[in-house]
Amino acid sequence: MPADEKQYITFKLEEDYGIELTRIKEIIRNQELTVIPEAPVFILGVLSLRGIAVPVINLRKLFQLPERSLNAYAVIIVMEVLGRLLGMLVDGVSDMISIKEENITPPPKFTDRKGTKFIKGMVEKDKKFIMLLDVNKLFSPDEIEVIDGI
Amino acid sequence: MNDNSIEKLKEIFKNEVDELIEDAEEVLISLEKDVGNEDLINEIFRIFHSIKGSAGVVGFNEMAHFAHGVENILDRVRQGELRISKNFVSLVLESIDILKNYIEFYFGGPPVDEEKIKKIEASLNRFKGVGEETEFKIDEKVERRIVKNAKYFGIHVELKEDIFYRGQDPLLLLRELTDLGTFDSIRANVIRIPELQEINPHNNYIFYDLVLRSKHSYDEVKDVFIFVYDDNKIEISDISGRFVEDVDVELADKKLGEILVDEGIIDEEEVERIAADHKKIGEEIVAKTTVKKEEVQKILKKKQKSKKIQIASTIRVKTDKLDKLINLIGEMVISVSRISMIAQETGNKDIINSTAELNRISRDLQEQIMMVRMVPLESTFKRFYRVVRDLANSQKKNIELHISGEETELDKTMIEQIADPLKHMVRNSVDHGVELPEDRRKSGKPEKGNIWMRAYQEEGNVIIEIEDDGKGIDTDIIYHKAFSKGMTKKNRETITNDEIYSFMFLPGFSTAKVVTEISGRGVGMDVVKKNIESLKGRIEVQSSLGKGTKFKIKIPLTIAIIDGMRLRIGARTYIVPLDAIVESFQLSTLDLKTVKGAKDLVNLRGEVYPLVRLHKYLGDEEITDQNFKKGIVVLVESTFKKFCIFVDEILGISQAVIKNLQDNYRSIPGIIGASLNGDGSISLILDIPGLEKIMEI
Amino acid sequence: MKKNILIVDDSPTLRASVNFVLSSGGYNVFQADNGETGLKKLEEMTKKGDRINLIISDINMPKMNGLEFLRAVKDMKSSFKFIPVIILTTEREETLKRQGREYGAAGWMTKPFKPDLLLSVIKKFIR
Repeated sequence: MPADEKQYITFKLEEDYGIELTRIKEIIRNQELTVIPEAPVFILGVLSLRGIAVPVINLRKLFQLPERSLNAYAVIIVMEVLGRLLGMLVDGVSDMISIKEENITPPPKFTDRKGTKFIKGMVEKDKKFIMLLDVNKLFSPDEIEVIDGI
Repeated sequence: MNDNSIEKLKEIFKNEVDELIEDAEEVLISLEKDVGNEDLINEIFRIFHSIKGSAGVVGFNEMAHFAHGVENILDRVRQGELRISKNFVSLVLESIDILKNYIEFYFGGPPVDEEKIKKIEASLNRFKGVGEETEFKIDEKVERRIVKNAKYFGIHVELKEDIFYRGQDPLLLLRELTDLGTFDSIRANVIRIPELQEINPHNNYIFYDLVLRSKHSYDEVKDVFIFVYDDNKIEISDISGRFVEDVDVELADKKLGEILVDEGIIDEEEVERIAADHKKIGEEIVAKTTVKKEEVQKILKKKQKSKKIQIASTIRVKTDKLDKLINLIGEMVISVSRISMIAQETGNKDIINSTAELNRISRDLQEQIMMVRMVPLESTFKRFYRVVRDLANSQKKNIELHISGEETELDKTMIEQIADPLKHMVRNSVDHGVELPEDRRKSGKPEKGNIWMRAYQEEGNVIIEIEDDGKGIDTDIIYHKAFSKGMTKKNRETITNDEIYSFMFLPGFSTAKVVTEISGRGVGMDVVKKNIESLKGRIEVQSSLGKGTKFKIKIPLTIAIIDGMRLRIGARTYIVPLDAIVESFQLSTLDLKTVKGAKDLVNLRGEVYPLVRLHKYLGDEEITDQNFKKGIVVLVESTFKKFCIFVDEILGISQAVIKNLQDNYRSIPGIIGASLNGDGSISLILDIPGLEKIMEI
Repeated sequence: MKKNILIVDDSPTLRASVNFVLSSGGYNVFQADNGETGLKKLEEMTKKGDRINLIISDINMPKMNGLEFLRAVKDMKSSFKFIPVIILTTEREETLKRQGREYGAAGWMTKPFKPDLLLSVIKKFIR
């Protein structure tokens, strides 16, 4: 693969988002989580993944999207965020695509869900606009603090 | 090295590590206050490095291994790959505790807690990040979906009446779609087809809803409709998310009838008609229509598969956690209400609006939590097959148990409390209700006795009935017993049956001896009554000597869930409980008689029913003159009579959570409550018996 | 005559452990806990007229680490530059090894060490 091309995993959550493949450790089906009672709303619970306790984030809640009931086709993307492993529950993974750096356009200013600071750019594919996430910007230091305590 | 040297070595080791541990704690406590401090980070890294090394030297390999794990993570911090938090530092402090435990153990103390180590390592391991893995793993089943790229598109094809004149043909479009993939389901909607005498063979009346499984892109699918897209109603959406292992996960939730309708195997009206009978839809559909048993079986199998997949995504939560949650939320709701009231007094619009929103959210939350605990009565009921069988066998009686309505849901704790009373009553039916086979024969009854357990919802209550066709309650015997015990002074003529039945529920009314004499209920009925009353419920008795007895338990719910049909009347949507619906049809096929000064009447196959125009009653003044040809009439059944409701559109069948209106408004006759739709709008739930009364039908 | 070996390492446990092994091998063992104290010890002993025959040094130490110590010992002006230095460390990194060799280390051993291996390595440098 040419140097300026990177691979992304795309997933749906009302809109389409993409995450760089290198940040992702694993993608697994939605499964039983240990619920943490005192945890904040965006944390669904803890996933036990071969001896690793991975906190799982409800991305819908984080993006302040309307709730959908938990469904079996959702998947958990286990990825590295600011150095630690986290799971993100998404509606489903759509595709694995290669994107050239030059095709990434700067993010739009239209959404007001927690600001657009965690979207590092947009790309168009199959008539869809995919928003590429800068995962390290998804959480504030306070939120990371809470997540680490799970 | 001799033993003495080894001892000395261990001593030196202990001293070194004790000191390192002390230093570590000091460093970590400072680090907690200053998580970015590089010097502290380097320092703590060095300490763990040293501890690891020294432990290795003396052969304490487990400890060395553990320390090594932490050291690696601290190295990542050092290299800037991991940004730490206070909670992370706490975790490292916990690791220090583990090291202390190791030291204790190596020097004669208790063994280290394996569980504790596993737990901390599990928490620490997430800080190792993705690591050196160059290949990421993806769940097999998820991969199949991505790699195969098979997508599911929901397509609605609604072409105008005159499309044939333009040389277009929906069939050709559908054929073209099959070039791109396969139809997972397709339904032709024939509701627009006019009466035979009015059909224009050159017109197009049918529209289609289908699900296409295809590896092609959205654009390629859309291209099929390139020439019809602009002038007609074509909707294409990517619904791949709903499918797992090529099974539509939503099937698990849909009722069998719905699925059959969606797949075009049966008419919606037929389903409604059958649903009104409370019977098992599958059987009835096969019996009453031309649907083949195999088709129903196929769908049931799909549903099962779907349910299995769905179940996999459930989360088990301990009920005590839920209870705590519910209590807290209950308190919160009260608090928030109080705040709302205070807010009202401030007169400040912003505050009032915000607290109103807060109020709404907290009540929503409460209802959602309550719903988590709603559990179908199914498993409770099904237990009784065995109970009845064993009891009947032991008493040499021949009894069959019939269960219906087991899908009715009840709050989990209520179910737990109801289980015992139900058991008592069923026992009593077997013991004292149903007679021995030869006795039944003598009375001209079939030898096999029956017990029915039914559950259903009615106006915000869950009703559970236990009925038998046994010998019934002999009111004379009960009356005399009660009278002789001084429980009543009324004489036999003036006392009512209900009053007599109520004696059965009095404590101490029956003893074991009495049970054999009284041909009725005995042990435990007072307990049963108490249990039910603790759920704020009531219990009613109906009995006919020689024929049988029915117990009716009514339990109110703060929320109830009903199956209903969504209708549009004017601009609003309403929900009619499915139980109440008999059938629906288009008005143009019927006779409509408007009698001056009286109600409109509808003639359906020789029967005449009153027609109710709800919009007038419910105050939708904007609908004045309707084009009746475009509307639909729904025939509903109430306690005594049937009548017709005129609606503009049938939107579909869904489950509705009833929110009591009483809490918010004074009660509106004819409305049971409201239900919140997925899009935030509200549908009012019609109270059919209530409407019957108001409309003076 | 007994030979003298200086062990430079910040871990008392490690020093004690090496001490036991080497003592039972018939050597005199002297200890220092980092590069700085190591240099001091070397000077001290030279003043007394004792010769250090071999130095074993760790790399990760506070105040003056093993590589810095190595450089100081092997410096042109140093009176100790002919004493063989064996690096005994947990580090397995190739770049560090190369640097050690550049600075003049005579040998490289990794921790944890096997006593007999240590003794046989030492024999290569002390007759």
